[in-house]
Amino acid sequence: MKDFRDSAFDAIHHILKNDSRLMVLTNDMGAMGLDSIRKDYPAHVINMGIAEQNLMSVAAGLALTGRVVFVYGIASHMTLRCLEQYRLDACAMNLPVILLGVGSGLAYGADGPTHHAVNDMGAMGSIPGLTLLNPADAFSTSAIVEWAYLQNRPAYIRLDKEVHQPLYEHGSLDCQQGFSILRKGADLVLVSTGMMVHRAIQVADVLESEGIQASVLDVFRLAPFNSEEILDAIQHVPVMVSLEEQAGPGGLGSRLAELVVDYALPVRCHRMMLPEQFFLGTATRERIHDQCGLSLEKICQRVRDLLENLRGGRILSRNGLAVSGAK
Amino acid sequence: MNRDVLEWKAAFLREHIVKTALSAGKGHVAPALSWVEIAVTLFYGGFFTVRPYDPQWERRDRFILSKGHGCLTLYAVLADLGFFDRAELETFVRAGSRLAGHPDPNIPGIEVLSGSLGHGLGIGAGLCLGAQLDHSDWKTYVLLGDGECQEGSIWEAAAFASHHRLANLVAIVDRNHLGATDYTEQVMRLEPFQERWEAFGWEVRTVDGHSFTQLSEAFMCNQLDQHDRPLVILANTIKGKGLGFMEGEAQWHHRLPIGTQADAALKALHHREQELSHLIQE
Repeated sequence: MKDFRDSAFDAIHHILKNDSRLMVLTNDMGAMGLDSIRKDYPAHVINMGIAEQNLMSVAAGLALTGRVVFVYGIASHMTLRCLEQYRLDACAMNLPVILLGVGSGLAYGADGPTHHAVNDMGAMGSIPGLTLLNPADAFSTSAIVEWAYLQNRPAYIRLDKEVHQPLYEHGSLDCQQGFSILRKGADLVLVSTGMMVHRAIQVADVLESEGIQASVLDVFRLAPFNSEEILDAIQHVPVMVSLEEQAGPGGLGSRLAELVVDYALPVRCHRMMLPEQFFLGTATRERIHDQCGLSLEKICQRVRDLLENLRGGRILSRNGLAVSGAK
Repeated sequence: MNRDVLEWKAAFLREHIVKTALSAGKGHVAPALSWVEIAVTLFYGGFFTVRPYDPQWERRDRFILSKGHGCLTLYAVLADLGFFDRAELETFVRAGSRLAGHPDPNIPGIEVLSGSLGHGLGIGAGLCLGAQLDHSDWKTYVLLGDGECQEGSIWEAAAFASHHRLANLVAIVDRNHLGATDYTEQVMRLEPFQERWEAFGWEVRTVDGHSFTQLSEAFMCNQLDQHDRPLVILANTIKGKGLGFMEGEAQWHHRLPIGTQADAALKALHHREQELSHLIQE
């Protein structure tokens, strides 16, 4: 099975066959797929060195000469390190500079907080006009890369490092819609993005064996957020649970909570995400998920508690548990 | 253009810069006045190729005002060249005007958004790389502030442009020795400035930034196709040049004269412009 990164580069390689305007810049990061492109199109790949601010400005300058520029690097370095350059030089002028950030969320877990991308969706999602994409498998990655290229505007595509089971078949991803309904169930809806979509499916499987029917949504385009159609998909289910490997405002849970408020939805919205903290030390993905209640077992238990408490009519706290002392 | 005409253009621009800012009650006058001769030499001295009636003409030279706060000079030049109506200068920073306190590409003749310092040289390097890949012969000129050269991104771009031998890139540093509130050498020194640029692999010309002769000679060396690296012109200038009370004084970065001082300033600039206008007519 291909990983996200090779899928992305295969798609770019394919585009280059027909469009010589395409360039790939990197901040000294390597990848097999990139080597392959460099071999066939040496003039179209530039190693910009470890200088991300300049990288973004140069990318904007190249885009001003009519080129579509893909920028590849570690997600945390491609985003917050040079946010100002990307925001003003590329996005404010609506230039086709498309970021490929590898290592979304805690993919680089053991490498420490310098390499975690757990606040990037909020930061990047706040940039006007940016398309924020977060695929959950290799196929959707290549489809998203091709679609982002056709949009000819700024986009940030997050790439997980792990190989995940395929969720989609060729042609089954609707990038214009920005999300997919992977499973339908009447008791609750699990809304997720990126690698956590796989966790959502596992949760739905466990709950189904207990007689609880859960819908599963993969929201792979966080911005622009398709509020209206997501609204249609969630409004007939009494409980909505968001699952994401992201902390703080601006992520999937934030956007769903805004939807609930903006449209006054009669739905119980419960957000499961990372806490706002720096994970120092050897913070492997598995360990942090377990600590933060994002492991399969803990999510299932929290959903059971949530449904139980809702059935009991109890007042719920932020974590879905009944408030102490309240009936 | 002969030197008298260039002198007159400089006086003409200074009058419009100050008039525009005083009328608006806002604007970075001193940072605009320091690069007037640079602008006159570049735009009226035969070095810059552009079509005001076709701002997006593909083969035009590109100019990036990386020190975006110095835009009053550029607006006055663009209006004078015919990119937009001169009367539009009167709308500067007023609600609904295109002419904001920092330039953006909705204004005809403006290539990129600027105002956040340290971006222009990298964008210029990207433009030059694109032109090289296309085998195009247009050049990119980037005006930097000297205080702006405290930004690390400037030196990332300097290293990149040198490494890629971007000979179609010309940077001009408006070396007025002042940042926003203090002297650059007091805040975080730039010297040895020329040696720094040389060490980064640039062709360097240090000139009097108010001398048309020296500026022309410096721009001329980029017109010859014998070099293989980017050129930086370190133009020693005086911040607030043309208004005696403002010259080289730190407090005028974003401050305007008021009352009789403002009236006297405008009168003196108008008088100078008229004097030179009569001289060239004779």
